Amino acid sequence: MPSLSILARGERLRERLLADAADLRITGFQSPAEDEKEEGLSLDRLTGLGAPHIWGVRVLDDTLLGFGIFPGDRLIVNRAASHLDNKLVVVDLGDGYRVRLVQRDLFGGRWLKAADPIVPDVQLDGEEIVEIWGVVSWVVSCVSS
Amino acid sequence: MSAPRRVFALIDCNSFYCSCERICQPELKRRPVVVLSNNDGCVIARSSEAKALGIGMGAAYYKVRDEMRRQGVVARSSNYPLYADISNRVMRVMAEMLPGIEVYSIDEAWGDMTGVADPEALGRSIRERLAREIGMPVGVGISTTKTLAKLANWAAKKWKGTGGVLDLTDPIRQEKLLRLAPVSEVWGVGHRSAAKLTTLNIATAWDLAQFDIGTLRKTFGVTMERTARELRGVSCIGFNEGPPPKEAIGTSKMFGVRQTELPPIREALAAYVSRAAEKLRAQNSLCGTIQVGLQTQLAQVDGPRYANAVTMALPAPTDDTREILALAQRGLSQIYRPGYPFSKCSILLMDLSQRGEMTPDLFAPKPRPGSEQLMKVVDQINQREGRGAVRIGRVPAKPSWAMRREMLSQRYTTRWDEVIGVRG
Repeated sequence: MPSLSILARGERLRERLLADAADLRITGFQSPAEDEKEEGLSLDRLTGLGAPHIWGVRVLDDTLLGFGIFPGDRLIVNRAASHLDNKLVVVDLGDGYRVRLVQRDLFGGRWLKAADPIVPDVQLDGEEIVEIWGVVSWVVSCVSS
Repeated sequence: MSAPRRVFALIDCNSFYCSCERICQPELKRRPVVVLSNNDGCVIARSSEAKALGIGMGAAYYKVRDEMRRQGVVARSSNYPLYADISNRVMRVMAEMLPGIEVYSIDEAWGDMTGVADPEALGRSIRERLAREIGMPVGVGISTTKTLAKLANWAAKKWKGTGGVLDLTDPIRQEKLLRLAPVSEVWGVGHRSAAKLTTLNIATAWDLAQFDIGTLRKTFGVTMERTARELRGVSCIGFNEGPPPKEAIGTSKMFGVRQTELPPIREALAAYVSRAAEKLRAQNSLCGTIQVGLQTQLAQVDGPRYANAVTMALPAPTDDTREILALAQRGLSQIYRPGYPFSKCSILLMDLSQRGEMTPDLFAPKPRPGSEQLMKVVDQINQREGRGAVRIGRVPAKPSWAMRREMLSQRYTTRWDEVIGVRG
């Protein structure tokens, strides 16, 4: 990490760094736009990030390509969601957290399907209790680098 | 119409630090876990399996390391950024579900359940939500006074049949538990007073509640009197309005390795002063006096020992890291003696006043121009980019004196490149 010395040029720093905190106001001619101003876009508000039950996780490898999810993608996981059918879920299958798709079979039984079809399905309501850690609600993917 | 009876809940997390580690590292769910203090010195938290293996609270790590390895116990250095974030999540869920809460420590909070129709059901749903949404196991004790709620919480954890929630608002159930609970488990009864109480034939919480209040006050003081009254169901300790701003702010840490030379100690002091000044600004205070301390390991009987501290007044109350640090470094020069293996230095900011509360001294030296804004910007950057992103030039990025944290887990909830990993 490069180190930075603190210089007493507070004013200039303030102008450059505090612009978003200190609201810039029109001092001359007022515009009706001032009354209709809205808050800017926020990914936090869109995804719910910041709420206690919303968690972020990171995709470690390319085993989720079958779901269109790439290595390094960030997933937003909702741990309060209860509807699981046709959702991507994060589960602990005994060897770390894994992402699976929940699907019902013809008889109504629920199965956990992996992105890679070679991986055998796991029954969700079977003998062995599988704990659902959360439901994936968003995929954050960087496509420009 | 009379006011409804007060109902308090005490909700506290089971083995909080260990549980935090387990939430983010599922493989630890199936193994006993302990968390170590700063510098990996001693055991400060144990999962129930680790407790069952007989690992003592406060046990020195180097003494129990081999035994723990044999038993398959996993040790972790304390990961405070993680614990603070999880604590915050827990507290926010509680605040959402209860009419009022008072955060008592990082892992426990008082809840106001006054007027709640079915406190036990609410306690259970809080417990279930915390387990599902955060993965934190908690115990809930409910009663008509804080002391009784705390005792109910103890019982909820001790007896599995309670399912982790115990409603002790009913006087008959209160008496039952009081007769069972040893007096040492009562909130506010320490080791020493418990021993003293035994000589008065007070062995259970019930004995204490029934004892003559006047005698208790005379022998132990008003605190014990209050405790006894609370056990009788008379609420004496209400909800806090929130703690007042701290009257002194201190930062002191052990060095990872002993330091004899002055330059690395100066670096450490600069880092501690930066942190203390940050806390000072966070509560909007200015400080007028500082105390710098330096010491060797005092518990070590053989070898040279030295400890000294100096108290100094700032020319004018300030919260500027640079002003405080300049004075602190002068103080360090005064107390430093070459040749000693120093283990710790400390800074204490005292004589605090709120910004704007005092009339500025006309004859005091003028503060540096733009100081207030600069410090605000520095705090803002550090909040966003991580502590130490902007720092005093003397503090190195990877200091030689830094605390040992060899088994530190990742910052799973506060850094995007360190969050929990998933696979297909």
